[in-house]
Amino acid sequence: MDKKYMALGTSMLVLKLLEQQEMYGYQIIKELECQSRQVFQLQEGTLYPILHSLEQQGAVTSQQKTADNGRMRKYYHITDTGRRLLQTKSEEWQVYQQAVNTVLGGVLFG
Amino acid sequence: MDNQTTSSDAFLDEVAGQISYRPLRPAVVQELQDHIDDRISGYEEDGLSRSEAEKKAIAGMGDPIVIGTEINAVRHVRSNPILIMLTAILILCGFLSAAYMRWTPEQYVNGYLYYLPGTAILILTSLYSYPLLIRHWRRILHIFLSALLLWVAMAILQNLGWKYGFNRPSYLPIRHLYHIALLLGASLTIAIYYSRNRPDKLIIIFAASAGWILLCSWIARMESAIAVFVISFTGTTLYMMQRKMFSKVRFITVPLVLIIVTFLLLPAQKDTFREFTAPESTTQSRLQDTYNGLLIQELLFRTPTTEGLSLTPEELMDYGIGTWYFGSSYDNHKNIQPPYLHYSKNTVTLWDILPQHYHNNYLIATGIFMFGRLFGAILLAVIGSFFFIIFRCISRIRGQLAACVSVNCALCLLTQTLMYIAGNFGYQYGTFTNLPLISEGRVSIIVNMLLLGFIFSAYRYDKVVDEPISYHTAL
Repeated sequence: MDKKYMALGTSMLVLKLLEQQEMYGYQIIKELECQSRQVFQLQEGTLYPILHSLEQQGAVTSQQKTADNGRMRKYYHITDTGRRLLQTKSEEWQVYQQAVNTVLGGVLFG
Repeated sequence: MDNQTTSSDAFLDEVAGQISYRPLRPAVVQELQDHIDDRISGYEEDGLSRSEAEKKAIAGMGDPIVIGTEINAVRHVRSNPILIMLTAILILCGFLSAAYMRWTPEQYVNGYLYYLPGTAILILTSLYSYPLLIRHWRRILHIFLSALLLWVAMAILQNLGWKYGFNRPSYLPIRHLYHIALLLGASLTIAIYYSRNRPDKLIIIFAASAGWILLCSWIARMESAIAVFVISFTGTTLYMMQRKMFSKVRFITVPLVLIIVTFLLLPAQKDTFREFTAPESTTQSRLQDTYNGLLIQELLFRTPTTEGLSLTPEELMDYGIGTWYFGSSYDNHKNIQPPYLHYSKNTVTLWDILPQHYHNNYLIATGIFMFGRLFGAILLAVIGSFFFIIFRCISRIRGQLAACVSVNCALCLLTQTLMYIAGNFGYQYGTFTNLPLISEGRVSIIVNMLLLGFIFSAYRYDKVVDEPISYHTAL
């Protein structure tokens, strides 16, 4: 898949997960694997540039907190800007998905 | 991934090595280390040995160089080369004018003595101020406010001493009112930011600001310093309102209006506005500032576009003595001319007739007289570009506190500049302000360098220094 759409897809998924609750990096990876039924298995370290980028855009904020396992973890929390960004990314994704379906549908089923 | 990065330490070193801003490295490394530790624990629960779990966890992380490089692309210190170049040009102009426009050896030394450390302070502030502010804002604010209270007490004592004739402190703090007014705005911005969700604290801060305005007006007639404070304070508060930083806007609107009304109703304001908007209506002597403004307007009107002003000795004498404005009867005032204006029709030059005792106040006008209007237009274009880029940089600052303080600093610099330029076209509001980086003063050079240095620093570290998250912090 085009790298641009990969990045778009991953940051959209991260924002979607953070919309449900604040999470730390490892938790996001686990949740992504779980909710996608193991389809999305990222190179785990690549999540962090995405989180830093979202933080720079003001889409998420971070805070050190104690996790359920008793360890200190950096939790990410979606902001209003992040919610708006998620909305925009979702719409872009719909356009992309529709275009792909149209082409695939036209070739295979036209 | 090569064989060297099969242990977590080697992996983390590789990531950290790609991040150019070293103070950021520990936080990034810690976060990745936590992730790897969690993954190792998970694999160990699945039955793998410690070494196998670590190897598998590292393998799952991806390429450390790619990760580090991508984080560095997002989080790095930045600078604006055009802004640095314009700043260097303006400082050079100031330095040259300090050398060229001064009249006595003492003034030469003053100029150099303050420009050189001023430039050093600009560099140091750019490199260190924002990270320091983020870490120690509370301590910095307390130190400044304590110094301010001490200054206020001394100024009151001094003023009462003048009024009632008792012994007053030998040190004269009033001369620093201008500098304090410049620094106070930035300090109050920090206080307002950290109290933005506490209406009770905000009301105290705004009431204290109104009290400060009244106190300044009582201590000394320095409406220009108060104007710089009020405009930058109001502009910063409006910026914070526009960025929706206050939970309850009504707790801000009313006290903000109170500040503006307090400023507009100051006792000396009526005369100051009249002198500013219609200098001819109050000019009775060539020793008044308003006369300087009228002289400047007249000479600017006569200056060609591409060359300097050229006048005959008779015209120069008319301007020098003031008869061009007051008529020949004004010769009677010759006996109150400043003693250093010793010139005659045979020796007079353009330099002699300019308002020399304030020559640094008319730097732009003097430049136009010497080199033509085009020179003035170029200088104003450089100054305009400087401020355009400053505000564009500020608009890109992500951190809310950094942006607020930067807006306040920039408004302080801009207000001084606009008032200075207006004075150079004959419209002087109150006492003359300084032209930041160029003219004039001693301590004010350093204070303005501090303000500019903070903006540079906030822009530089915005992507690498995080503001502490505090949803309900108040002073």
